[in-house]
This record gives sequence, structure tokens and C-alpha cells, in this order.
Amino acid sequence: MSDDNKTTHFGYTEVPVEEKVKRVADVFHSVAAKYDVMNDLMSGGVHRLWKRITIESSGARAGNSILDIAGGTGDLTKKFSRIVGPTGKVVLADINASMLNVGRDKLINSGVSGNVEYCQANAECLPFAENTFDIITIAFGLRNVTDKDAAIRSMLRVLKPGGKLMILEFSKTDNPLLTKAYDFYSFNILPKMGQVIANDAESYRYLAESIRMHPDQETLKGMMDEAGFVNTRYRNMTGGVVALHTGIKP
Amino acid sequence: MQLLTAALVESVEAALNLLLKTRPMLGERLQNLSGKTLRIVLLPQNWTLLIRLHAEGIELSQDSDFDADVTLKGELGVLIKLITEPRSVLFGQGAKIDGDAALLQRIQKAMREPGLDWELWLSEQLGDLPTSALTQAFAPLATSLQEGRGSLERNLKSYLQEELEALPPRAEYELWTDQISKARIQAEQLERRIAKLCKAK
Repeated sequence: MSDDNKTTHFGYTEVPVEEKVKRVADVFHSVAAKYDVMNDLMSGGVHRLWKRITIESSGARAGNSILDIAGGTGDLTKKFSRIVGPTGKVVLADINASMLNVGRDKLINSGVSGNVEYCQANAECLPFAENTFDIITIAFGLRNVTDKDAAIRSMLRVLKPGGKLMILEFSKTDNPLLTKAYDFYSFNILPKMGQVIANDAESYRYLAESIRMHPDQETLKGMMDEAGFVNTRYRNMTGGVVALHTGIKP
Repeated sequence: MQLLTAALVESVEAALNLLLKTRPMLGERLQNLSGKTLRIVLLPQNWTLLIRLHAEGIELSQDSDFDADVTLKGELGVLIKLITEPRSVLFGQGAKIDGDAALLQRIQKAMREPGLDWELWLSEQLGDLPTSALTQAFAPLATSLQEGRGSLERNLKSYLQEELEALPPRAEYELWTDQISKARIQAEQLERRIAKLCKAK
């Protein structure tokens, strides 16, 4: 984000800060109904495995309070809800009302209720008291946030001391061949799939561009350290296509 | 590797939950155990799998730190026997059970589904050809594991029997050790005498 003229990137385009929020919202309003189908098609179903590994690494236990930011259609919330049980709580938060509605309907239809709450919230200023959650996850959401540093600070604030932040996000591949194949797929095949399945090539082009503009593994780890997290580390998955960053609130 | 294991666990979980949907009685019995967790630890690799039962089905996880209600630990052959033979008892089979053993018996009882033909079920999910290939691929493994276990037990028994026959009786052994002790004492006395003679010269 540029400080002087208050612009930020929206994919490869530089836009005023206020406009990014609206544009990202438009993208997700547009893809919400077919988000799950597209995720499966785009990743060949591998996004489920990335999420599974995230949950298994979370250390969630019965009775925990968990915040699933940018929770979208509720994949993580569904599994967390079963782990924390009736004595725990999972809050599914998303800035986008369409995504939140799709997620809520999907969870209720699959029998998940009782310990799940829904909240339309901006990750930069989370509407929760300090020291509320044992675990916070944000899966494939941080790259859409305008001020990522503010979001990470906000997450630190609402985590309990000793609580864990988990950021699952597309990242930078470490293999030149894989990078070439990945770029070709992202910029040539992905928008076409978006056009055919969701009738929206532009939104999926934005998704590909936003991935390239997202900070790499080391930069994001540095941002977490800067915000005040300790024991920060990351784990690459699928050759760095995706990375799971974790940090603990001291 | 982690991704491959996750894919395997995901596939097994999906197949099991699909099965539960087609077997309402089985699903209902497991529903009564909702919220319970069972950990399976495969020896000697220490490969661990957490099974979480919930109202909508079964969830599998590789979370190795979770404190499960009951843990079943054993070698593959033993666990296969426990799972595939409905009349098998839990204890004295070579499997170690930690935690709520009664829960394990309840799970085993709930999982018994009369008339459940696993091969037929698999063929419904995957098609005849892949199922046939899978069962053919795994049948020798299961058989060889069971045969291997049986043959190991037999070999051990016959080895012990032969060795027992070759061993001397206790009285013979004690007489032999006495003779050895006497011989050692005589050798020492002889050594001392030789040393004296050498000095006298």
C-alpha cells in the first residue's frame, strides 16, 4: 500500500484503498454461489487436503474458542465445530455477506449448529474483545485484505495469550518448472474455467493476480513477527503453491 | 508425503461416510457414540489414525496429540483380524488397549453389520474392474500377513522344542560345572608349583 496517495493493488491494478474493498466484495458476491465447485475444479480437490492439514496442525481441542476469518463457505468451521464439541465455540466470520450466507446455509444443511456463530466482519478491525480465541484461522483470505498488517495486529489482539494464528494462503513456488506450469495454468486455464463454470472470467483472473501480489513466505513471516507473534514459522505445501504460516501470541 | 497421506485419509473418510448413508442402521448405531474418539496405532511403524464419531458420520484425522477416549495399538495382522472377524475377542489377541475398553467393545459391536459384503460395496463405489484389481492386490497381503504370523508361531514352537531336547538335564549340568571348578583349582595349584620351582633354580 502506498502511503502518499493512498492506493493499493487489486490484482495487478493500482486502485484507491476504498475501491479495493468494494472490488473484492464484488468478486466474491459474483463467485459465492459456485465457490465450492470452482475451488474443487481449480485445485483438483487438493484445497481439501491443504485445509485438512491445517486443521490437524491446529491442536484444536474440545471446549476451544475458534475464529475462522474469511471462512467463506465454512469448510474449516464444519470440522472445527465437531472437534470443539458442545462446550466450545466456532465463529465463522467473513466480510462478504454473500459468502457468509452460502456458508451458513451449507453448514445448517449438513447438520452443523449449536456451537457455531456467524459474524460479518472486517479482518482489519475484528469486533471481538481482547483475548477471546484459542485459535484463529484465515484460509485463502489474507491476500484479499487491503491492510494486511492491520489485520494481523487485529488477530493478535483477539487471540488469548498462548493462542495460535494460522494463515493458509497461496504463496511462491520454489521450483522454476513448477512456477512456469503454475503461471500458465493461472493465467490461461483458470480464467477460462471461471468463464465456463461461473460465467465470470474476470473474477478468476483477479484471483490469479492477487496470488502473485501476495507477500512471499519470508515476508509474511516477517509481518507476523513485526506484529508481535512469537514462534512464527511456515510450512510449504505442494512445492510452495500454498504455505501454512503459524504464530503464537506471547 | 504428508499430502499423499492426507489424500488417502480423505478418500477413506469419504468412502466410509458414503457407506454410512447407504446403511442407515449402521449409521444409527454409530450415532449413539457421537463425540467419542478412537485412536488406532499401527505397529511397528507407529502410524496413527484418529477416528472421531459424530452425528453425521465418521471423521478421520492424523492429529497424533489428541487425547482419544480409547487407543487400540497392534500389528496390522492383529488389527485386520479384530476388524474382519466379527467373533474375535478384543483381549489376548496381541493388541494393546489403552483407555475406555468398554467403548471399544461398543464400537466393535456397532460396526458389525450383517450381510455387509465389502467387495460388493467397493464395486458399487469404484466399479467392478478397479475393485477386482484392489481386492486381488490386497488379498495376498492379508493372507501372507496371517500366514506369516502363523508360520512364525510354528517355527518358534518347534525351535524351542528342539532346543529343549538338546539341553542337558540339571544334574548333568551341575556335575559338569563341579568338574570344571576342580580342574581350575588343580591348574592354579600346578601354576603355583611351577613358579616355586622356577624361583628355586
